[in-house]
Amino acid sequence: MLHVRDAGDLEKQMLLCRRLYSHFHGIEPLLRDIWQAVVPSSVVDSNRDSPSVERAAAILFAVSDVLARYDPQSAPESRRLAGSLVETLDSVSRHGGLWPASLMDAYTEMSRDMLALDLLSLLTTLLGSALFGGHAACPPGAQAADMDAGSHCPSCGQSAHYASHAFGSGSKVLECPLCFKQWSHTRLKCPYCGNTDSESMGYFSLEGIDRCRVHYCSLCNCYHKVFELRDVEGERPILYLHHLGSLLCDTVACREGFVPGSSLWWNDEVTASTDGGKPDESHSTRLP
Amino acid sequence: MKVTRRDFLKLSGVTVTAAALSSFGFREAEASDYKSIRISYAKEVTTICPFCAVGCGIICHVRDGKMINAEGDPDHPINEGSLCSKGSSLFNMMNVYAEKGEARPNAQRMTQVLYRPPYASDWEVKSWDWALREIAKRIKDTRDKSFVARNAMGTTVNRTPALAWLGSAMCNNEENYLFHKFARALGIVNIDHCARL
Repeated sequence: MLHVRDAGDLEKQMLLCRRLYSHFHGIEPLLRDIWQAVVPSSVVDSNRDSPSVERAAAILFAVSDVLARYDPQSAPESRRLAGSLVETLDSVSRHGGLWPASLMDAYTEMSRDMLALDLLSLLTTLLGSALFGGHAACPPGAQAADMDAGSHCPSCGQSAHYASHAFGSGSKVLECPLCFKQWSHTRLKCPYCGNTDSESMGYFSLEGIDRCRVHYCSLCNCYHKVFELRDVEGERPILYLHHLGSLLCDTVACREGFVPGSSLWWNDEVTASTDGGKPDESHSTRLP
Repeated sequence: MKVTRRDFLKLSGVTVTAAALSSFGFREAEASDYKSIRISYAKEVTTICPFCAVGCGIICHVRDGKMINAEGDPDHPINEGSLCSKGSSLFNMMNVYAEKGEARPNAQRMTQVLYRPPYASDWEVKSWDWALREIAKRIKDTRDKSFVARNAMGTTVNRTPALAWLGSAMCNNEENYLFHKFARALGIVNIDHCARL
């Protein structure tokens, strides 16, 4: 979201999401304020110099300040989380610089001891969009062409969490949650394990959130979300907004026993089923 | 070995909800409403369009054994996601639209072998085994009765004008080639294809 530079584009997409997701209007002011706090100001340099921990810190604290305005009770937690993320980023990026891979390293390290993973995921992806959004995000010397273009972003290597269907052909287009690059992938193939057996794959959708289908693979137990927007006219949608408007699907996916293939957790529960453990089948309505 | 907070909770088998994005309004329902949320599962399966010999790829969406949607397969090398008007109507082989636009199973779709004996007015349900045996028997009988070894000018023709053969768009070139060979071997000269392509 923070890779969008034009306020008009953002407003058009928010209007679309307000139509498609019944409760999106509840988070619209928050997202708008986050965008206002980060993008137009000097926090994000329009000349796109190298990402630095100082810029990351400025962005994270600006976001946490906005979050604190909307929920003052969580202000200390948001600020503490932003501070911890900055410290961890500083530690992991000391040798190789600040890249999406180091962002994910920091996320992985912090997620081991955290409960509110969804808030950490939000901060991480917002930071990624501000620092790397829309630009090739490989460290110098890395050969992006060698990266496996399955679920992994050909620019930065991060695994996709959501996708959409291309207008016209209907091919699946994955999107990187950190640098927001898009690439095509085979429709009936798991992006994470390469499974092509349609019997062990499928999708589910929730009543009231028809545009979001959660595709799963029973072989690797991973899920990713696919947004059906082919009949929506207008400019290319900001999938991140659709993702935020359908977070309930992530919660339900974890309850159904699936894990996010991107390793970014968007549910707010810690159960025995998280982190690839035995799935909780008690509420599952999965087809055999 | 250091045990993290997450590990401790996982090992104890409890479910804990941490107040996080929910407090900012990011979720539409509380976790306790999970059981009231209707979840609909479906699968995507690939098939080939039956209407002509081009053989476009189609992705069918199936729920509870019934097709709920059909679209072109973008990864199929022949059509790359596009479908002509005939292929796009595949959904209507199974479903028709009622007065208010809702899709209902197409009552006209054939799901079993039906046979109407000569001079009868009703259709009888028959098994596939009976049907295949009967078809083979009648081909043989018709060929024997109508076979022409030499035409009026005395030329050897070895043909049967009373039979016709249609190729199938659901079969590939190699299969249709064998069918054609078989038909010619029987002496059939009235040969065509369902798609004429």
